[in-house]
Amino acid sequence: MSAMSRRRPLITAILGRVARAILAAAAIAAAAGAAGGCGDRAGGWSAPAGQPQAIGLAHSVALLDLPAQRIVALAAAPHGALAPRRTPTRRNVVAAASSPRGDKLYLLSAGHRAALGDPIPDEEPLLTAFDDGPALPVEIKLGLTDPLDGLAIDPSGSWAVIYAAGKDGSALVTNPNELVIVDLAAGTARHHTIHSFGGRPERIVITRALALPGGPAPLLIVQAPQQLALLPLAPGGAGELAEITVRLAGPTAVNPPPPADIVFDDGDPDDSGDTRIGIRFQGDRNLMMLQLVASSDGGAGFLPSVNVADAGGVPSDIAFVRTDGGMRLAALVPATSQAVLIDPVTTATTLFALPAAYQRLSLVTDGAGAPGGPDVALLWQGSAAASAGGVAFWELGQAAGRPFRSIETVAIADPVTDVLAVPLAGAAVKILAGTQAFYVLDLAARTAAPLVTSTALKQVRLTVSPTGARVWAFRPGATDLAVTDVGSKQVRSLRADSSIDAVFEVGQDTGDGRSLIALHQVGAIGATVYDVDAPDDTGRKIYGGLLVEGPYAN
Amino acid sequence: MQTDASGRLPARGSKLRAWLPVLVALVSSFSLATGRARGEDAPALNTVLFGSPQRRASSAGDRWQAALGMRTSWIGGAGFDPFSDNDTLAQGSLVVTRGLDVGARPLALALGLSLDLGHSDATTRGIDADLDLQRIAVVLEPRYLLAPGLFVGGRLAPGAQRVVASLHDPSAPSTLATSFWTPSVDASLTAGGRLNPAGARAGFWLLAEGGYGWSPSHDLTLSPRLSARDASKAGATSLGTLAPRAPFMRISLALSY
Repeated sequence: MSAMSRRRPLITAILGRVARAILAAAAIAAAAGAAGGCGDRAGGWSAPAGQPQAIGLAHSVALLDLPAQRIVALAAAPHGALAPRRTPTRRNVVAAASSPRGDKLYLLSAGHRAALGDPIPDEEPLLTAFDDGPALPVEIKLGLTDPLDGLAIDPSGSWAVIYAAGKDGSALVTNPNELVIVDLAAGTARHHTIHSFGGRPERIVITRALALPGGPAPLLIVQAPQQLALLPLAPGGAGELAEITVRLAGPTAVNPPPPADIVFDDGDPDDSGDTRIGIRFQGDRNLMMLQLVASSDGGAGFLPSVNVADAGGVPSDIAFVRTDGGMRLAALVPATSQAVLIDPVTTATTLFALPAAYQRLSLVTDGAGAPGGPDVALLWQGSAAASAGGVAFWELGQAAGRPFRSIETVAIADPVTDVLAVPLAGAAVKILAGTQAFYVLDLAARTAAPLVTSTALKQVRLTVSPTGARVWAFRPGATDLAVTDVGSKQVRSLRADSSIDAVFEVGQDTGDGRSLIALHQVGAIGATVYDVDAPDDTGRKIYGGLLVEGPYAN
Repeated sequence: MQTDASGRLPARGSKLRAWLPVLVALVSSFSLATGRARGEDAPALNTVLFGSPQRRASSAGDRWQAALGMRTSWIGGAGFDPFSDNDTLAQGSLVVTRGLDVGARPLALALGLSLDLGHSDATTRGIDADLDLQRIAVVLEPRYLLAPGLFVGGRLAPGAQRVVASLHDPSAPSTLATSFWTPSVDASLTAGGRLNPAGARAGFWLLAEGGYGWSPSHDLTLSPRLSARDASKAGATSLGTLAPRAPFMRISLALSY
């Protein structure tokens, strides 16, 4: 036997052992990989961030990171610092609203109903109040099995009303007229079913505290197609007995026009019997006025006195105003370029010819009128399609005696599409949105300083700062950002490095400084932070991946 | 196997795959060196690297060993979650040791160097997150020879680990990244079996190792990669604390001479 032939079995044996060793190593490695796969991460890591709803609070921007079942609050600090604060939420958040002061965020969660073997425990529908700070959330039980999805907070932040906003309930049987009224201070909830003529609530209005005959209280106004329900919100209220139902059409009406607008006025603060509600209907020239007069019938302490008046055309906007002749309901009738004042007691009307077909009005008495005197209303078109007519001041102190001299126009070559309030008590300015510019309207001097935009204003979003000192302008999806000082009209252009989707001016969590947080809602959400007191490009701080950091609930 | 729109393989593990040829080349070079050592022109190199034939014969064992393997670690900390959807980190390993005759057979001692190159990535909150872990360590390994061609041992490997973490978030102007070095120590048990007869000049081995790799926790604070002029504009994004310490297992094929 040759040497070559003796070597072949040896080489074959070696190769065989190597092959078996490789197979064994591969099998062991595969088993190790499979074992490693058992340690899966929490599901939140794999959920795309999407475009979370962002809600501005006083000192932070709350991002509702619902796929990860949490809130990420971006709190600003000096020098562009950003401190994310992560708080878990309950399951299936269906609605969110902030308190009027921005110190709370309320989340309505539908919870979870566990089937047999479900690893997720039962969780009932809850209203959770999150503090704009480090305080722990407070949960309020609602006593519901099936969730409601509408949430309204009253202007004082004392009450919340939960109702069926969606048309498609998942439950076998749903009462669409059921309300859950939550006393936010006490953390208690009570249920109330409004009287119905077959309809369901379409709109919830909660007024500020009014001087009602039964005592000062916010008034809950529930609008349905055929009726209004009025319910004072008072601690320990009279429940079902306190509800006043006002039918909006006669019993023989087949298709009554639904309400388009509801306004209210407290009247004389010392008179608890002159609270009024005005109602405008869609496509209808009639206006309804209710006066809540004291009555011992029922539990509310008042009954409505109803009057209906013809505005002479289909009104586009209404408001209660104080004139030199007393309280009136003012209405604009653009089809005839007229305004009308209606006496809510006698329904007598006074017509005013207007220089343009104004469609919207708002009261600017605080800045343009005398304190405690008759009102001054600002009139504007409210539509980019309208012909240029600028804005007009309507002096209601001269409405009775010299109606032809009560209108003063401010010539603006642009149709005014919107009027932004400057949220500062006694502020003597408004921001007017045109089509190619926005204007700082000085209510006292009655001048309008134009601030021209490089693109159509409908592509620009304007945000007035909570202090009323600045107007932020940006183009959604672009990197352009500008801030205008309302007082000096000085404009500063700022640069962002990613496209901007929303901006929020918030107070810093320490000191009196303020920051602007510009959100970039792509990927895992980014932000650019600017120091508001000295806004410039060099001081900006750029953040990315804000929704990545855990922990996440399993 | 899934491919992306351009037909390429997905990026996951691509860096690891990129390093594997390097490791293979290193082992191949070692193998070639030993092969050349058998040639007529190689005795000088052979002697320099592996000692004289007399010394090798007197030590009755393989002196040099180069192992190429796969290390799998199970990192359970939340800081690793952005970069892995199963807590597993795979690393390619190259370990080169030299046996020392301590004169107390069947005990032996091996000293050497190890290099672990690993990468993990995952889609996290809809964006790509990458983590590179590179460890270089000194190996100190006492071995007990159970039988010819079979040994068990313990290994201590102090070293240093480089960590590079990045997030590719379109909301940021550039990749969010951070990198740092940390100390590291591996402590493990090893076992090896020779696959070919002991009389052969080169040995082929299957090595198995299991143990614990420790390194200190470190905060992952990422910021956009900006030029020095713009560095002050970079805000920090925290990803929590990464604690890359975990039990691990390593399977290797080794060549000895």
